[in-house]
Amino acid sequence: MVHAEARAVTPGETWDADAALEQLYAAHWRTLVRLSVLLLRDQGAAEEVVQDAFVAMHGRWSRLRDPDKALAYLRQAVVNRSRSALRHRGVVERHAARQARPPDEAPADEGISGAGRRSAVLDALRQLPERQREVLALRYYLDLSEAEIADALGIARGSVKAHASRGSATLRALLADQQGDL
Amino acid sequence: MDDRDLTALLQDAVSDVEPGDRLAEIRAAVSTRPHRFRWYAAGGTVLAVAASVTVAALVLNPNTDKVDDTTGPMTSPTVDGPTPTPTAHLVAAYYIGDTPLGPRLYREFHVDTGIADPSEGIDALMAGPDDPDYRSAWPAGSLARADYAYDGGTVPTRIDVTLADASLRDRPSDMSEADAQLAIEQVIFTVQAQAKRRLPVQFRYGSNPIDQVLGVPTSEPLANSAPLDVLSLMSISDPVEGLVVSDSFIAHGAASAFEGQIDWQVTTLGREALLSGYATAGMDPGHLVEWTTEPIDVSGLEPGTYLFVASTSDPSDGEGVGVFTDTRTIRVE
Repeated sequence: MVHAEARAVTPGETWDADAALEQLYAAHWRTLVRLSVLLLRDQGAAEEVVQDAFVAMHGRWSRLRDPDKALAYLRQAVVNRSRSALRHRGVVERHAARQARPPDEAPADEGISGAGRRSAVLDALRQLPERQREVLALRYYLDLSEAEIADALGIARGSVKAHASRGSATLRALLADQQGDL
Repeated sequence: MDDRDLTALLQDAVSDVEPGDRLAEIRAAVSTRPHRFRWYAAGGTVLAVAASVTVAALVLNPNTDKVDDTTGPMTSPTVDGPTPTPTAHLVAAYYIGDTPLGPRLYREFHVDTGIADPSEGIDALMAGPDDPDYRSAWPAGSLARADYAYDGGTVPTRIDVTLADASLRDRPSDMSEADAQLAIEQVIFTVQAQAKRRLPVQFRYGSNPIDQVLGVPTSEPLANSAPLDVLSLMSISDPVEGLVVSDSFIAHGAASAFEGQIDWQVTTLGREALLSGYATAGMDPGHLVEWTTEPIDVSGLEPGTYLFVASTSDPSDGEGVGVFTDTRTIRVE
């Protein structure tokens, strides 16, 4: 034990930045990359976005000092950085090469219809306005509340509701053609 | 399509996204503080309160044996001195050890603070393992280097491994064919771990492909064998061999176990169990899966040297493939 008295204090105060990084990475790396893929559609770029978000979170730890706040910060950073990446022309092209997957990474039992359906959903998301896509991803993928989404995106709760409702209506319409596959 | 359908759709849309592991890169990018091998809990203060978050941490990236060989020990490798070294990184190397199914490969991590280089994996093979239970088929001076071939692109498409000693073309009389095959796999898995990609591996001597290595045909680039055919079904990443722990520690590793159950023990060097528990790895047919323990409290143990033992469970009572075990020596202070 370095400081026996430290046992009495709360988790946030005893975690240092490195410990927070390890724990949050273990618990959330994959989910956050998947969130970014929903927004960006590009796994290589998504990994870079989330990697940068973790580095930024580590740098801010002295102000966060709490796992929940740190996770909220990570989500916000991932959404913001995904948006910037998407706006940056050519992001998809630049990272296309990184997507080359080792042959044994493709699930062997992957049917055409599963991959086709996934790709249709990602395509449809790409056609939505930015905010609608972000709200849908946070609401339906991360299962966040309206208040949490409002915080993450820096918009009013009423706007969250409006974006969610328009976004899901549009997504449904876009996917209606493929209902047979869904 | 209601809300639940939308949730299912979005979950499914990215269900096949298995991100590569970038923890080593992230650690390297943030490592600025001067300390040596730093156990991530750095004494007991963190672990005393970490139990609740460790449950969440059980949801780990299950890619272990695919290409994510940087999912290493939870040390934060940094360097002494005032100058940060942004290239501190983990090097995974595969070594040979015994299992119930004969010799197989175990993964061990080393920290390298130099410039990342494709050859550092084979350097680790020749330097040998830290764990005395392992061995390497490749003595010092046997392999010259590893290089990536790009075929005109920006992403490596093949790894070339160059022998330093032409006599390695033939299998020594005291080496079995199976041992020779495993020695080749040892190189393939190690350099693939370095590249973080399952690329084909071409053995060379000088500037040309060599037709055989240790008697194994190598004219064409070789793919790795199926992981479950050549890897130990249990490999400990943490603790590293000889880790000093003061109060408690979290262990992690990779395994393929019945129903994902991992048993662990802290024992005396004579294998008398002092502490025990279990952890859960996910299940992923054909691959090893990451597991992580709850914090293991060793504050009740006398200072000294102990073994940390992790095993796959064996529900068949000995009739199945048997129990795969990996061990690490730890020092409690």
